[in-house]
Amino acid sequence: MIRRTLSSPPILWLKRHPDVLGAVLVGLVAATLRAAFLLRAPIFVTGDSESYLGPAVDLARGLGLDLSLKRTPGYPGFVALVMSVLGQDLRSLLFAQHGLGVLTAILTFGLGRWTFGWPVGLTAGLLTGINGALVLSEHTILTEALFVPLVVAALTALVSALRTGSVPLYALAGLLLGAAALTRPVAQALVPLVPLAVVLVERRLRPSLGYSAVAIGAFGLSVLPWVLWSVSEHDSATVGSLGQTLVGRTARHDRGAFSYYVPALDDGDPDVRRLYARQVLQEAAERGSSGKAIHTRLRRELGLSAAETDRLMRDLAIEAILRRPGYYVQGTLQRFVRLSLGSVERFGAYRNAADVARQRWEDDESRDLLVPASSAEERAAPTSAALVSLYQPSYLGAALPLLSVVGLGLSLARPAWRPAALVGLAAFTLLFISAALVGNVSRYRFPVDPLFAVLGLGAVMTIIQGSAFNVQRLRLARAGMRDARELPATGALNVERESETPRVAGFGGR
Amino acid sequence: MTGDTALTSNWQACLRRSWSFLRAHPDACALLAVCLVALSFRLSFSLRVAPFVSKDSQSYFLPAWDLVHGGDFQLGLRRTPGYPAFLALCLMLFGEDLRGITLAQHLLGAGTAALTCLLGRLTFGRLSGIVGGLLVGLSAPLLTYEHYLLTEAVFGFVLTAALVTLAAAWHRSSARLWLLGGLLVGLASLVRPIGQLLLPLGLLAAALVGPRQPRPALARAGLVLAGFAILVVPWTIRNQLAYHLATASTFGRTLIARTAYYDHGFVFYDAERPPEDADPRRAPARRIVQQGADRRESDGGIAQRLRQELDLDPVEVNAIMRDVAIDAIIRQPVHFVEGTLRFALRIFNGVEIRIRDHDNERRDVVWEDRVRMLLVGGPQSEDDFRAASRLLNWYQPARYAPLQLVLFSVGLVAAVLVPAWRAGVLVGLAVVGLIVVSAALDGPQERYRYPADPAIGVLAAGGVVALGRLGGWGWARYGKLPTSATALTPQPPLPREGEGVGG
Repeated sequence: MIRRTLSSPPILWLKRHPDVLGAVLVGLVAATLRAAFLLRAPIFVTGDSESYLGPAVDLARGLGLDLSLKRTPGYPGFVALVMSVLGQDLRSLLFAQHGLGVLTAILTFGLGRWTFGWPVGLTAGLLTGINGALVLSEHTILTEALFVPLVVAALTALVSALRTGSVPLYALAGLLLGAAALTRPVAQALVPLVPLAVVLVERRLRPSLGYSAVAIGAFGLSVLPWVLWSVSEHDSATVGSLGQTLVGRTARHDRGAFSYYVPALDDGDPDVRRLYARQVLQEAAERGSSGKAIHTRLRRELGLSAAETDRLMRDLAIEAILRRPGYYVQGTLQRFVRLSLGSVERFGAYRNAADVARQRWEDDESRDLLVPASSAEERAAPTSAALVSLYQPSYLGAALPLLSVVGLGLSLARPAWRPAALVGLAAFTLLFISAALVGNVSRYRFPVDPLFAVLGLGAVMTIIQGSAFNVQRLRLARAGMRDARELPATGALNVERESETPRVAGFGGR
Repeated sequence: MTGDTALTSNWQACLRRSWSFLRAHPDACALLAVCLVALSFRLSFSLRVAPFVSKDSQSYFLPAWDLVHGGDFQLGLRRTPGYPAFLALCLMLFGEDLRGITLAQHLLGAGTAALTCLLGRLTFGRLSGIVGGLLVGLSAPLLTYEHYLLTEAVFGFVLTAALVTLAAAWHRSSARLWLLGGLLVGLASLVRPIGQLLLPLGLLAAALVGPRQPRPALARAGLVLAGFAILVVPWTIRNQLAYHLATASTFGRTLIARTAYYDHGFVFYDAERPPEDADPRRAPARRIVQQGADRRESDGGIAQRLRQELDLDPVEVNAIMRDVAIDAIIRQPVHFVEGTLRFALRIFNGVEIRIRDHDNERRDVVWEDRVRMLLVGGPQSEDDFRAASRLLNWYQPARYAPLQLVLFSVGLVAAVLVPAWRAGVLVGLAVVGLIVVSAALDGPQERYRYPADPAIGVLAAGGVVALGRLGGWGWARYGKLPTSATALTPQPPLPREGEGVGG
């Protein structure tokens, strides 16, 4: 009976299509957890949510897009699109965001599958599917809900492109990277990794140049309209604003550590506005004011445009950093380590933050959409908290980041796994840039969680396979087998076999 | 190879691969397309409007609520456990928000569209599957009733799944499929008792398909019956133990609703010629029913009076209502048949869906205190309401009812005439049976048509395919093309196991 069942057409079909099986399994687990959470928990917002939701509501109601210089249009555009298609109830937005969460888990499966093999893909996908921190971020009106799937999708497309040499996939990866940069500007830091990864894998100049040009060209095309809009509106050809961010990092997160105004050095500055700005920044640094507050004050008091203010803030922040470079590097490294370790995300903390943010909400158009927790949601709070506590990467402490370092090392060492190096480099780049420019904000780790899962599990799988191989070799050696060395190389994962799959001819790639 | 050429060939290779995948898996692609259309349509609607409730909703919801919250599973005598069990599952999965239930029902609705695509593929071929699936995917009444806390969405899904399985079993004659078909018919009966109607159809199909040999036919019918019994018998035993009533459901109240509330002209009690009843309670019961009919009281009101005035328990009330109604029907059989046909046509025609009517229905509903807080109000914004209303205008089957009736009839006739399409007869009979029995036992409630909508869509699409073939044959016969008598003979959707193409 069991044998007949196992040889039935659906089972045989699944045996022939293990990737479909893996994706469906991961999708089902991720969707079940999100379905259980979606209507049990109230809508989460933070202080930053207003600056995205307000413009999004205006856009959805046909009032145009009015974004501050610091914000990029990806997330407000996404929110407006969801509101237009699914309705203005914010629960529709959460539904869409959780849908993207399911997609993230499936993409993580794909990423693991194409880097370290099917078992790693499945485990990483499942871990991402039940990651409570990601579920909480998808339930919050903030960029991470869109940024995480975009980053994972871009890397999956890129890894797939590196493995197959498919030009359309390179173009897709570039477009997705552009969309990620329009959601959170930090994704721009991943662009230099594209040629690096292509060179690592291709090891030849011509195809490397061709593929990189396609990916970077597609990236440029996707961000170009926004850059042109920024030029026309703000006289600034950038995506995002570095000035506010850097001042936030140096004045708020490193409160009192950096000096913007040292009378002995700066009183001689001939530029009066610059001198005044120094004093304002110094005052703000002593009080721990936010970058936004400083930006508003400077604009108002100095009569500058948004872009001019941002440039001024950027220059002064860099100057302050250069005055204490050692401290800045030390602080950045500390934050990088803390961010890598992560912290446990608690349901109660999100709920409390949402209550505070709702009370301080100023935007009239979007205020009505924020409803306080219903009695049913209050009653369901323990269940909701339990659901997001099933698994969080921070439970594993330093294990996952350390294993990820090992995974990165292994992928750099073994040519067949080289595409996985991209995943590791992207993860550590994102963390480092976040630590350097902003600080230890726990949500900045979320995009890295799926990447760490793939790298960490890849390292574990390699260690297990390597150990098994060595044990086997030892046994054979003891049994008197002369040529134990003739055994196949350790860690012969599926990936190595699959790397022999024919590649589409393009730019003379291998 | 230059860079440009390489780039072009790479893109071309990608397009070629996509095209060859499409050609290699046309059914999977059709199914995916139907699913995507149905799902997008439902998602655009589902969170714009608060869930709809009718007066009947509470009788399904309360048992589910009590079950989840550790209470008893108290179900009304005429209710079956399938839908309350589904509601309990939804409450456990999504929590107490009613939108979770409607979301799940919309997902089932998308599943129904996919199943319709399969049903069309199995009966009249791929084209009818795609057309039928899209019609179901965009149907306003189906979308609306998926948004209700009522049995229609779940029943429609299970019913279509049962038809798909039986049609697949018809073609492949697989023992597992016959058994699964029986199980699904049993499940449909536990969601709505009228699902039992599929059992004789399933048995008939099992008996008629394949070579005319009694033993295999009996074995197939036995499998269908066994599958049905596995699910229905335990519930029947439970009813026997609880109410001394060995049936899956009761129909006393529904028959009274049919004869006394929806229909006019039935005589339950003639004061000038009072019937001689052995049961002393029968005569006052007739009087009460007659008074109820004269005053246009609902079946619930009549049942309450019977219970209070004659001091009867619910089982006795149901039995006496059933007997009084059957007596009246037996006395006026022509009136009953005429009314049934009239109601059946009304059910088939359906009504145009106006969202405002369904949203307003919520105002007439009063739920018990312990669940009242779950009833949320109307939509949050007028924009959402208008957008939802616009969506419902995409496809209203009631607007095309005469055309649909004609195409349905053509499809049914074609299924009878063309051997390769014969599984369509099973689908057509299921539709006719469901509508006529609903009209005969329940009355002209348009919503009773909606679970049969997928099957109607398939038959109507089959009618289009048949007319197309006929037109092609006529063109070939009398037009410019060379005559070909085989042009009318369609290719079978799937070859039967052990038989050549054409069966």
